[in-house]
Amino acid sequence: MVMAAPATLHLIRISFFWLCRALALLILTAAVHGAPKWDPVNKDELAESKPIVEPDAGAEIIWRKVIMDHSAIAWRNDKHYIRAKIYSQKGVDDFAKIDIEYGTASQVADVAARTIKPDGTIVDLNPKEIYEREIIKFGSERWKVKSFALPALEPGVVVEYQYTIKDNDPDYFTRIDFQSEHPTRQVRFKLNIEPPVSWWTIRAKLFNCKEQPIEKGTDGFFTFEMKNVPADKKEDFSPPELNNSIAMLIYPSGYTGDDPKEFWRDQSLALQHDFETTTWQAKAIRATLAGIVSASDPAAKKLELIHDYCRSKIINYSFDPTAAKKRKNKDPDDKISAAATLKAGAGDPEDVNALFAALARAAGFEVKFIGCSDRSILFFSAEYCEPWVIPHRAIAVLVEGQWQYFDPGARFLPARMLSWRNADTTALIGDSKRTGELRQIPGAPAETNTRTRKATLQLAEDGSLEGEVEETYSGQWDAECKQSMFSDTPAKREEQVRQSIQQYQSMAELSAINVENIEDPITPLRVTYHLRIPNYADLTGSRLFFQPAVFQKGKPPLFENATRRTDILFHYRLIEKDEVHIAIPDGFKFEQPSAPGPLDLGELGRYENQLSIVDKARVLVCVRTYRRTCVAISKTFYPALVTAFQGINKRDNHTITLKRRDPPVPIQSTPVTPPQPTVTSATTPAAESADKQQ
Amino acid sequence: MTSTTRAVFLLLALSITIASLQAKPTAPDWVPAVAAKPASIDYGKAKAAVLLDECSIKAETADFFTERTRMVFRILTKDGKENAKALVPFDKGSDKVKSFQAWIIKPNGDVIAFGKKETVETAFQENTELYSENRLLQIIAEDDAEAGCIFAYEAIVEEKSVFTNNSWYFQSSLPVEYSAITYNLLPGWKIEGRTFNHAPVEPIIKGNQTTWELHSLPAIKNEPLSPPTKAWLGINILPSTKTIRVPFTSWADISNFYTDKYDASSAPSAAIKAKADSLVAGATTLWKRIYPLCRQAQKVNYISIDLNLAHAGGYIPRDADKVLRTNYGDCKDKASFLRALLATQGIESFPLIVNSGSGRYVAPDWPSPTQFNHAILAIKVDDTVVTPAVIDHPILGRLLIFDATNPYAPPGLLPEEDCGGHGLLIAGNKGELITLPELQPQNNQTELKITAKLQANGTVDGSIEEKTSGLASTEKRSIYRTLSSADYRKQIERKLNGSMPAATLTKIEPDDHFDQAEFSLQTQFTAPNHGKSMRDVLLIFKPVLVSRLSGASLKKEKRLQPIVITPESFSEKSQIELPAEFHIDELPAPIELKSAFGKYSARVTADGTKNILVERSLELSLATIPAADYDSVRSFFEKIAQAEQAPVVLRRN
Repeated sequence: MVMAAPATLHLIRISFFWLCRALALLILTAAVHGAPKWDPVNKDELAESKPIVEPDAGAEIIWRKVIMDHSAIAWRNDKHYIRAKIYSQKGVDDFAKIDIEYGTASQVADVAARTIKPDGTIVDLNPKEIYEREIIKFGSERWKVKSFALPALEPGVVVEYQYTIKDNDPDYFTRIDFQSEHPTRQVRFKLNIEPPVSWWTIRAKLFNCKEQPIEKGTDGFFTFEMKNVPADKKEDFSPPELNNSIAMLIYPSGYTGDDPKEFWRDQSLALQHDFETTTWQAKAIRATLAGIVSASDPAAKKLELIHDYCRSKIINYSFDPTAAKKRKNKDPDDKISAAATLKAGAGDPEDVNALFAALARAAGFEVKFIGCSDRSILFFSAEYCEPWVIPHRAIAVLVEGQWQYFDPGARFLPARMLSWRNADTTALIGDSKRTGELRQIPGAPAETNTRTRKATLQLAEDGSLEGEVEETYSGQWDAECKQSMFSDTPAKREEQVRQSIQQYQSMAELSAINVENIEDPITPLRVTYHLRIPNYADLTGSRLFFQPAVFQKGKPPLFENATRRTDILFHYRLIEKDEVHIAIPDGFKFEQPSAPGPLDLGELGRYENQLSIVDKARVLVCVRTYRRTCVAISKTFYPALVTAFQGINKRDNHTITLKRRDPPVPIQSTPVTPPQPTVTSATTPAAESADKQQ
Repeated sequence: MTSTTRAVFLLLALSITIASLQAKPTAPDWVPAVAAKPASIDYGKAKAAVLLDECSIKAETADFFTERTRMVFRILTKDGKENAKALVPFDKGSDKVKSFQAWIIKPNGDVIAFGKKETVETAFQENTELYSENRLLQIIAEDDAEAGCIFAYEAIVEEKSVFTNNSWYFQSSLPVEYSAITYNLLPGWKIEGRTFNHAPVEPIIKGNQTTWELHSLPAIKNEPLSPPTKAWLGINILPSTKTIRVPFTSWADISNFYTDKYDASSAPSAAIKAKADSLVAGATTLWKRIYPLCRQAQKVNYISIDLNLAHAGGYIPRDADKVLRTNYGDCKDKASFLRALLATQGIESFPLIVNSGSGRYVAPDWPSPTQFNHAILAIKVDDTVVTPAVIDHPILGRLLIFDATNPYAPPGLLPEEDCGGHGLLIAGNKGELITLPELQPQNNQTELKITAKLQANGTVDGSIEEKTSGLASTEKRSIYRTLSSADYRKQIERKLNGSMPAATLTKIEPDDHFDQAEFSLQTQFTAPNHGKSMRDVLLIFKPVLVSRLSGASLKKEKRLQPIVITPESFSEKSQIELPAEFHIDELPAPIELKSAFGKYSARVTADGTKNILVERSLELSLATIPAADYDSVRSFFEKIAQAEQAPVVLRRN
């Protein structure tokens, strides 16, 4: 054994002293951490048997308290405390397991939970029964979860749990969601946030909650509270998620001015600066333009040719993952010049747009960058003085005194059309004169966004319907379909087509499905298939009944719920047109056929369903047209909307009767051509007017 | 340039060439060798083909095995790209993944290699799972794959487990060129295999090495209502030296292995006794004592914790006392907890391990615990307990089979997923494979009574009384209990909309008679436009107001696999009052269908001049119909569908 020298011993003694202190501190800390603090148990809460916020709830959060320390740039500390009352088995199922998920840069600590039975008995969660595991492990990235099951959980109990998340790679924003998946009686956020530099300020955006003072209290925290918050429930055709939530965004901002106009002036200048730096007229740009257009081409054609060139000849990294993998690393904020994009033959959507702008500029057009807001994320407000409210850049070109808008980077959109996300909303116009012009971008008219279905079908005596169908698309509808099916395999695309019919007619059989032009940016999407629907018509001994609007059979009205919480937002205006030819079986004839008549939907649009009988009274032709001419409807008009779509549904369900022909009669000596039957509207003028009023 | 400089340049050039040659990835020889073989079967429209599916297991020691898995796919179409992924499940508690690599050979011969950098490890994430040692390694190479390429992978996993059983599936949904499993065991150890859904596959034995292989296997098509038909092999290893591995040669072996473990976890404590005593207080009959205890076990929240899987942890319950304290557990915890409760009251019971959902396909001649995925309980009862869930065991007497995991089936009723299956009774030496009670149509009944009134404008108003009993009630109950009242209403309305598209409910009154295994639902509805006016002369409407068409339709196509029919019974009586302005012009023709597996009848008759009566009934018995008779089965159900659509025609007076 080697004896330690006296000096070394002293060091050891000192170390031992500090070690003891450290251990004591550790034990103390452990003791503090090991004994979670709980709020006093409220006997009234234990005795409750019915929820307060939503009578239908299986469980209700009595309170949710979050203390957030966001004072540092490099880390954040959020301490959560939740107390909930369980009313039913559904509530038990909802709270049976609690998962706290966190990422590589985060830690979860101080997890504690307990259940308080109606008689006041408390069952603590055994810390050994908290399980941690990695859900995903990829390279150095980890996504973990801490899970526990609340003990002694049953209807009638109150449960509470708490935990702290430390995030070492926080977002720029602090988002405060007052809503959760459960109704909440009281929710309180206490937030300590500091701007990174002294001259910055703290800004807050409120969504669907009453104005609250954005001031720190004497405790150094901003405090935000809400009571009786309903559970977060989704509705179809609803506004952007953030506009729809009861939430706040709080963030440090470098913009300290009070006048939003000044902010947008600065932004328009910055946009113009980007325009100048990325679209400068390199030789290659002019040379390329010469290969795309000729001087004699009219202005509109020139722009279409340039637009098509950018969409079809330049690889768009957003649509080509293999090419995107090979590109050199690029900071998303780096501006690539149009000449560089041209040379690479590839670029991000914004690079493609800049190339389009440069080529249009070279062709002699007045061109500007525009910063588009995105109504799929957030409705624009000029009061939101932040660059992120105009996240997308498109191109404006002045043609014969009119500004037209282009987005070739979106690949599948035709010329003079922006995505619905960036249309019917506001855009900022880049300008060297620092005008800060915010312009409303019109949405594409219904005529440009169409789906046309043509079906040639034979109805058989046994009621089955069989034949060929062709679907073609245009505009936004074409782009949306291509976008959704682009990365799918052919089989998945076929399945999507199959599902579109089988969703409402489960017996329908689709074969020989052909989906064309999905990857082609220029040619519209075309889908063809063979359709067979057994038992399509209803049979009696002497009659067949069938619905001529084949594609709408079994489909419920678009809006069915009696009430509506949010406004209604459609993506774009459109026309859906179905032309269905149905040949009737031999041995049957039409029995007093009628047509359902049109329906004027006012600002919403118009519906028509025209029926005619052709080909010597053997074929029924149904031309159904639905035109939607608006994109946003206030929820106050929801009852009228429900009525309108019920009216459409009623007309779609219009039925035609076929009657078995009488036994053959002796042939007359002089052949007589039977008059062509005409189909008249069965809807009386009075009924039609009643529909309009609805 | 001096010769030295020249030499330096040459050396440099050479080293660059070597480096570039070294940098070019290659696939191991076995991959191109497999890929070079011509197709032995017609792949038809398959999107990919399995060229090689091979597992080679070597006993390194009596306890440690090394398992090497190799798979090679030929990607035939763009859709086949989805097969370019390597998935290797492993048990974090006992397995070590020694290597995991994948390769793509492009049609032009270029090779892309995938290794650690591209490997993603994920947990098996079930909603009801608190923790599990089961994990999955994945290499997803779909983006780099294309039609015509080869995708291959190899995984080497070291495992240590108590299990001596394994199963090997030769077939898949893709055509398979070659599928084989090889064992290289220690000298003296034995191994045996049993083939299922295929003629016996004889092993190829070379020294200590035993291989089962099959070639040129067609793809198995997924067809609705079909039993499992993939060829598979059940393997038993019989060690001859000391090992942690436990051989099972009989069902009794397995029973003996688990009996002690179940006995230990279901040992009743004072707390359990106190709980049981409070539950049965005042009970005068055996059934009244058993019933509340079963209900208590059902109320335990379902949460699973999978630890120590390699040592059969997945089959061993947590202590009953712990389950009582936490009020959560999985199926075996619930069974064990109930067993402890029953024991305090002197009621004997036996754990029963089953295959939930596929119990009837458990292979009786392959004793292996790996055939099971669920634990329930067999409770000893006397003649006073009479329910469809009681069986007569030759040695143990009357046994009430109870599944505490399904909270919607009351004690005395066995959930559908357990019915008719084989289960292993864990009862020491007396343990054996038993057959669970079969589902009978009378235990899965739905009765409908509808009274409705059709108005001249086509609106139908009415009330529906739906009474379900037996298993049919459990399905209705599960929907009722898991949805909020608003969602429940919506669900019922949506079902009604299947036959009356615009119908809305004006009243909804569910009535859950859990103890009687009955569930009633009374609704009132109004359905505008149900009757369609034809030029105001005819009024047509469908008298079947509540359709029973199911989504699992049997399409007109060539059937390869048998059709399994599940027993059920349904009857309906409806009375529909007609509008006074109309008289009956035409009624649907009556229909009577009879087949080996069921019967159906539907009749619409005039009840005087004001009403029509609709009487329908369906009874299906358990049956497995050969694929050759598919058309007759399809026709049976298609005719029912047709009958449900048949309208009544009224003519204006």
